Amino acid sequence: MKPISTIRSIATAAVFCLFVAFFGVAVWLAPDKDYSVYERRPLQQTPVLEEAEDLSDYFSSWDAYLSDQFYLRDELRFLKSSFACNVLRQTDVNGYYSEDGSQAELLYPMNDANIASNVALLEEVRKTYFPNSPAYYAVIPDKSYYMDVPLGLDYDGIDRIFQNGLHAAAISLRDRLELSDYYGTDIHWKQEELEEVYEVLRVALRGDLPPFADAGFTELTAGEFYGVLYGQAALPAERDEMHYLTNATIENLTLTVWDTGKTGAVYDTEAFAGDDAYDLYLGGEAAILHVENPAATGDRKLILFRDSFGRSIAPLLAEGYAEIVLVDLRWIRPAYLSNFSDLLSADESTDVLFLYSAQVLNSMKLG
Amino acid sequence: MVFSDTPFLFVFLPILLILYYLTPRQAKNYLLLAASLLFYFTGEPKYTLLLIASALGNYLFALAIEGLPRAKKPLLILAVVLNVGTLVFFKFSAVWISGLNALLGTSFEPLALPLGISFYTFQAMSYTIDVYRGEARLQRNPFAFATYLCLFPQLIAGPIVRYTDVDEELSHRRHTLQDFSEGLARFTVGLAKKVILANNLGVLCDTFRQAEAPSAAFGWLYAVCYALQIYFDFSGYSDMAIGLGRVFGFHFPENFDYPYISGSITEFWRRWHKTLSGWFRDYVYIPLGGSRVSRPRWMLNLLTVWALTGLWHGSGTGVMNFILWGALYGVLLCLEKLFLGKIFAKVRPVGHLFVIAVTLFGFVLFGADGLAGALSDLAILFGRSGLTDPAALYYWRSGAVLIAVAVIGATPLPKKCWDFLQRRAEGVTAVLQPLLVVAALAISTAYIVGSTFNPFLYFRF
Repeated sequence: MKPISTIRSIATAAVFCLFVAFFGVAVWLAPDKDYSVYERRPLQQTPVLEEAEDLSDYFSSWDAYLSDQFYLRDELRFLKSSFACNVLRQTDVNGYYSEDGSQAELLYPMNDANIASNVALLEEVRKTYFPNSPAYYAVIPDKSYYMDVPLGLDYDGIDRIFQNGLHAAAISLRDRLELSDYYGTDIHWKQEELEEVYEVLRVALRGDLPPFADAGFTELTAGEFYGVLYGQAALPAERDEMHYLTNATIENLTLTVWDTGKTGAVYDTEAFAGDDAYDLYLGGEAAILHVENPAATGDRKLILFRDSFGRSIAPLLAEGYAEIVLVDLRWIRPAYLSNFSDLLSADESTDVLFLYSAQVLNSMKLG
Repeated sequence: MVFSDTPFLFVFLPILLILYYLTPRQAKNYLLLAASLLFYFTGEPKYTLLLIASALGNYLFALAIEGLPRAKKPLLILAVVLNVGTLVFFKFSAVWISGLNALLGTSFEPLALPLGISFYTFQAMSYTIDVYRGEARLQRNPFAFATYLCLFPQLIAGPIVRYTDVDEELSHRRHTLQDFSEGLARFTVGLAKKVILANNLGVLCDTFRQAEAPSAAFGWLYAVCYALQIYFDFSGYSDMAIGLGRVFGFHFPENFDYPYISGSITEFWRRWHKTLSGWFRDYVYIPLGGSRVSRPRWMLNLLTVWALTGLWHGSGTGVMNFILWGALYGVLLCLEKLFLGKIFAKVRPVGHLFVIAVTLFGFVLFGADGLAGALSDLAILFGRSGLTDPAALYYWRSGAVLIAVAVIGATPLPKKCWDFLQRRAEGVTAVLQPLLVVAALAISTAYIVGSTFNPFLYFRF
């Protein structure tokens, strides 16, 4: 071998062996993690033969375990996304894309059957529990609706599914929002940007709500955060800043989490520092939440069927109602609602609002 | 365990490399055999005994053929019947079990296809046949023979290495720095082809499968991506196998030689899955008389071989697609021998376009879900659901660079550039090669760690 070939051979063999050895050793030395904050999911733990279905399952779970616990896993995920975007020039990375610092999930293809099934479930709930109360529905567009992406959900189609399947009055939010009303790295809307949404709901619903400008909201800052899309897309982005609106009424609201029996304020600044910053609003996900307004002049009630978006708008609507009951059908089956007959008791004066993000309607099975 | 997963790359391979180079020469084969059986066991625990039985059975048959010259023909026939019978038994269990269920009113589940059975059965048969023909030396050491048959780099998805290819190296192989280094570089190239190109092309193919009413533009995106995916998936695996072989001192035959630049179907099959084509040529086509027979018989031989090639790829109830795929190539090869070949030889671009078109349509048939699925996919290509749609345009745009890289990567251009650089500026390659290897490893690892499991397409054969 010529000396130059020898150098090349030694260098090639050395970098390969060092690379494999480094990560091979690091994956065993680095302590196992239980949960990935970036990906919002539990990580695979050391496989146990007794827990596996069979030997094949046991061996394949080692692959999942080593990949989940891989040293520098998050950095490698960012490397992958960066390569896909900057070298392969892919428009999206595994269904996530970024436009002017705002990230979104590509919701394609639209799952018409799932949306129809969810709407049928909402109608079943309405007929069963609230036959005499006026009902409304509003669909929150996903971020991509406001982005320059040719693929996305067919909102006219979603409207048709609702009109045919749910006996409720439509409240259109499509023209009341824009891209800047959503966080850059999160799927959610910003509470402080919901003036137009608040106004359209104020007019449609029967609560005694003042105009947004007269509500006396003060904007407070919770802090900076990375939203759920940041970790899932693994694309570079600036941190978002979360703000929340408050006034005298909101400060006096009491929140009861029926899942745990816990009571407290509607804004949970400790929860903001947890895995999901959006848990600032009403403390996070729960099947049944009860917001009571001691300053209310009447006894009007709002029953709000919702996903996580509903948690941030509910405090703003509280002034118009004596109480708001928030039901998340992702965490409770409709049949179990009969156990909450007192809380969900409704008459002609009760407003029932189905407020769902298109993303949840398309991707998740309610109930 | 597969070559592109974390347990193989970061546990199995480094530990085996250390042990292998610490083990004395005379014990290296035993170590490789044990490691190969462990490798297979982690992927296919319940059929590991079948692999061992195949090794032992063919070892004994070859021993008997050599030791009992008078009975060697019946012994060979028995060996072939048992090998082919086992292959057919598992490959078409869905067919015969559903027949059995219909007949007896039972509800037996079809058997899973043992990993790599098509590959190792053909390897085993080649040994037994070659011993019968006197073309291969009898291997009296059962462990040495089992090491050949079970050798993990080529066990699951080829190349189909014949015993004669590695006979000498089984007992006297040299381990050189150049082989070790070039083997690792070749392995890395294969890994990148599989993980970066094939898997990403596969994602585009999946979007086509998820679309409700894909347009012709989407259909053609799928056809192009699938043809490229299957090439990079399979040739990537072959690169990894050949590279690992060199690391352990073996020199396996090449399996691919830029098939998409072929100017005729004949040339395509000289460049695509070369070890399978060679196997059928030497053990089926030539024994049938090859081309040294009457013209009708020659055509029949071609059709037989290509129907069998299709059958080899098929399994379960979707076998008809593969038989048709093989027969399509059989018919086209007949036409080439009769008259098309002359046209292609005169006007090579026509032949090249023909090969590309046939390959695209052929792989659509190959990748479809049954005959009805194939017809549906072909109808899409011709605009059954419209000529274009926003999703198709979006994914063409999103995948444009990937497809362009893959198309260029499927030609000899990158290798020619590398060879040129080596001739003109060898010093540069001494720096560049390790840099490229570590970059490819890092990016491949990023894809492996950040992606869900994605097995090799050819594992199902």
